[in-house]
Amino acid sequence: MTQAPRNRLKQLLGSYHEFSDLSVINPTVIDTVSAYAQNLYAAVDQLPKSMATDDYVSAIDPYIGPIEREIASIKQWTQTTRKVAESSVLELTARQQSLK
Amino acid sequence: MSDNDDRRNEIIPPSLPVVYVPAAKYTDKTPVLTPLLLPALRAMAVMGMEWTTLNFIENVPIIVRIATFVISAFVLAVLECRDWLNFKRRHLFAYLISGLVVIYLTICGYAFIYLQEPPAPNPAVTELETNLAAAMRARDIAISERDAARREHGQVSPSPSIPPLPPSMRSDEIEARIDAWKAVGAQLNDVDRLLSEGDNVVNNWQSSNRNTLRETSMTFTNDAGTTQST
Repeated sequence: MTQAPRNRLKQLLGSYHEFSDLSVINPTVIDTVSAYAQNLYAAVDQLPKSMATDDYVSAIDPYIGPIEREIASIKQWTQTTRKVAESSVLELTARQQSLK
Repeated sequence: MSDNDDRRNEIIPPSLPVVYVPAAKYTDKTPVLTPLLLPALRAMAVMGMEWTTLNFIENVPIIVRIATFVISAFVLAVLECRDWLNFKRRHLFAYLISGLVVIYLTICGYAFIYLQEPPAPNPAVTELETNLAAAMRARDIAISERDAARREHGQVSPSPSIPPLPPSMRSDEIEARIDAWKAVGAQLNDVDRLLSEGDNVVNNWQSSNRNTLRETSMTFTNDAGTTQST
């Protein structure tokens, strides 16, 4: 069974718990969008199978905005975390080279 | 003759201010409600423009919302004072209303571009997190070196938080950290894929029907880390 990205990330960070520099990564930022996605799915699942377009839009619209905002926030977080990871790899590589 | 000229100069100053008299728009035949309805219609037109714009640019920064509100207020003021502006200077009304419309469209264009691309992360936050990670790494290494030095001198009191590592393992530890950070980067690619699924839902929900949205939202929900029964 495949795991969700947020769970895999949490497991990865947990397996390196002795490296405190990894603690700057906060994987819980992905949790909120998961809850919003579940709300959306529940709302869509409860819709009648045939309905007018206006009713469909008005029923779903309130669930889309939070997801859109949360996705924008997570995109920022991934960009920041990726830059931290890249600079960490660079710094550690330089440190490793200096040891040789 | 000279007496008359002197008297005229005393009564009429050389440059009298020109009195502004608003142009008459209504007569006694005008219905009672017309003067009331016209300003109300103008106000509703401007408020409608503002409301539509704010719906269109829902997620923009607060400064854009304030700017559109202020411009809308100015547009209403200029519309209400059209005769006055034209009285002060010819074409002043046209210049002002054109300028305000151009500014309004520029703000809307900025907001549209802003919405197309996600906001870039704050460089200060990125720098702080990078520095924090480096500082914590340095702390880990310093603790490891301290514990190694204590062992060399016969003192056995290693830090409980950091497992003791012999000095020969330092290169391996650095390599392990490099692997860990690279694995984090790979996991972020998975998060990017999840966000693409979310974008797919957000961008296409209006054009899809209930069944299609149900499928895409179920995929998104499952990949976001919750389980759903189908």
